[in-house]
Amino acid sequence: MAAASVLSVQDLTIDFLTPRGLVHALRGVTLDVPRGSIVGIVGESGSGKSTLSLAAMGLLPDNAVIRAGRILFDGTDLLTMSEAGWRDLRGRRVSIVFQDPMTSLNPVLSIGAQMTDIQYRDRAAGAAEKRRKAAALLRRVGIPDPEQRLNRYPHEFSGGMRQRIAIAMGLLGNPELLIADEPTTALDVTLEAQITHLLRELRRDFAGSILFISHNLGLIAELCDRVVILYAGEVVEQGTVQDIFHRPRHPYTEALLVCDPARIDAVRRELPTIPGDVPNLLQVPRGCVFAPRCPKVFDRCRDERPADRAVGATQSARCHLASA
Amino acid sequence: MSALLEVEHLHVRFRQMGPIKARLVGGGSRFLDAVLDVSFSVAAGTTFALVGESGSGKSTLGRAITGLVPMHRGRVRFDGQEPLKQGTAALAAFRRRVAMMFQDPVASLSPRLTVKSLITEPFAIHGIRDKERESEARRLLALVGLPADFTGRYPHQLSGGQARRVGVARALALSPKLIIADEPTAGLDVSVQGEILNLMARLQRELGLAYVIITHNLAVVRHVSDEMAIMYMGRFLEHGPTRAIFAQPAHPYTHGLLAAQPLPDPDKRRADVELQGEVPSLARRPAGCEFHTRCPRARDLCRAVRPEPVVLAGDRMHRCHFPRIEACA
Repeated sequence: MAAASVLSVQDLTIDFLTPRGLVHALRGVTLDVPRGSIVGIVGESGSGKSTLSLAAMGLLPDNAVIRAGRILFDGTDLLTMSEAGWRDLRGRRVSIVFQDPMTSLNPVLSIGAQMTDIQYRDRAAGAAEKRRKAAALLRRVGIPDPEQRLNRYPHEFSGGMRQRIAIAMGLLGNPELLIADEPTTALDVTLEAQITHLLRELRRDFAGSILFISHNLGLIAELCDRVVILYAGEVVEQGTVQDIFHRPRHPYTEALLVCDPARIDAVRRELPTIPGDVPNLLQVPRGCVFAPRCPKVFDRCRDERPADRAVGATQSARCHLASA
Repeated sequence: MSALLEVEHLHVRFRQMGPIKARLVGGGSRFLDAVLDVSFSVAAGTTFALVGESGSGKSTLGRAITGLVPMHRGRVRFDGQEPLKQGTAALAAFRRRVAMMFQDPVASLSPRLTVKSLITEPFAIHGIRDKERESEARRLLALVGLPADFTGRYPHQLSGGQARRVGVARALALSPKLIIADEPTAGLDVSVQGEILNLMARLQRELGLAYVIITHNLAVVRHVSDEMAIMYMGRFLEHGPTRAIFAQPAHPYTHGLLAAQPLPDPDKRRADVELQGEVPSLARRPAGCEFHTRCPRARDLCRAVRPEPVVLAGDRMHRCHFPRIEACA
């Protein structure tokens, strides 16, 4: 029987070995991607959102050390999986779309060659059938005359088209989970709107789940069912998209929402900011990780790490002030 | 108040191929017109925002104003003078009064120079020897809110926001009157983005600076600019006071850009995407209105006849046969 969550991350803790010492990139990260849902991960630079997506794909660099936790994909622990197991999983049951499509497509192979190559598992299908399948998916992601386009090379496509191709390639194996790591950051706003619309349609057509990673709150609100807020390697708050945008309970989430100029109705020259800097992850502060910048900080925050507290049926916050 | 910067009918053209290749290839234009017939002015102490998608010509326009890219036709007047058409002395004087902040501050700071060298380099370039470099560096760092001991740091030791501040300090070195800022907040987190914009606003108040901000971030434009222009394939499709354009965009492209901004509210999701497709190649400029290939309101007239600028009340302009608001006589 399939598990209720396609992806379940439990208490994941990852360090990086660097010449300057251990960087504590992720600490006690717990989140679930329920089947058929779009879960958004919001975080600023250095919050660990890309580390998380790479861990779920088994693509962490060699200097990463997994200290604790589990990543369950449909109930199977990925962290104990063999390389053969990973090969069977990647591209077929879980695939990823990166930020920059130019670096994820091979520049010296035609789109058609790349899209038939990755159907290598399908032994029964002939070359013509694989091309037909590739063309059908290109058409589905909005690329006109796909049969001719299969003979083109990545540089012959615009940025928006390349990202559509990367998404089509991600969907070729009909995966249960698509990880989209800042898929529209390199695109203009009109293309961004088209790509997010496409992702929403695809979720409906393919009945898969999407883990959508972004720092753009507008896109998260537009696309996601659940939202996870990551700050300096910790999940500080998570809940449904309504919980997070209408009833944020962690001071960091509140501050992040206040800072977004798109949420400020009255025109103003002086924009709100979050004073201070993200903590150095070589030496994580003893208490709450947000305490040095938190407007509601009190003594306990500096000494004692807050636990995840449920603040409703669907929402939790890692804050001493949070209560149901 | 008279304008500090006046740009009239500016046209920037890049050569795409020589005459021989053009004859061999046949058809098409030998040239790419990156900026076409652009006119606007910026008053002292105000902010002008140039908005457009990639390839709209907004960065080229910023560079053409400072003479970093040669103009094909048109005028750039600064304080009543035309520095780009006078000798090198006038150009040097002009460049002391107009500073440029480039995209990607980390890439625009030489990795081998200290912050002190970086922000006082303009003095060396312009042969200003009567300033004490160390004290000037400290003064500039204080102005942008960085501690004085940053003088000895190298660019790789700076965070994105700090590198941005160093870029601002370097732009301020020669006490300019106008700063052209190309994507001043691109790639910054929202919390840091606010800090940089607040710094720029404070410097504008204290030093009476004028800004030309080149960006695609409309949420920022709404808060920081007095006037704005929407560029598409090198032309201004709409131009006027920021407040009025946001309240009621005249051009369908402006409307589409505003509608494409995702709203950070899960209860206001959009059902449809208003603007489909992508910007056409400059090498294959559509006939008639350049925007007709993507315009939801396009009709036959738009495909045949290029719209001329239409002036609206309240210092507004648009180029559209079928605008969303009518011209008041």
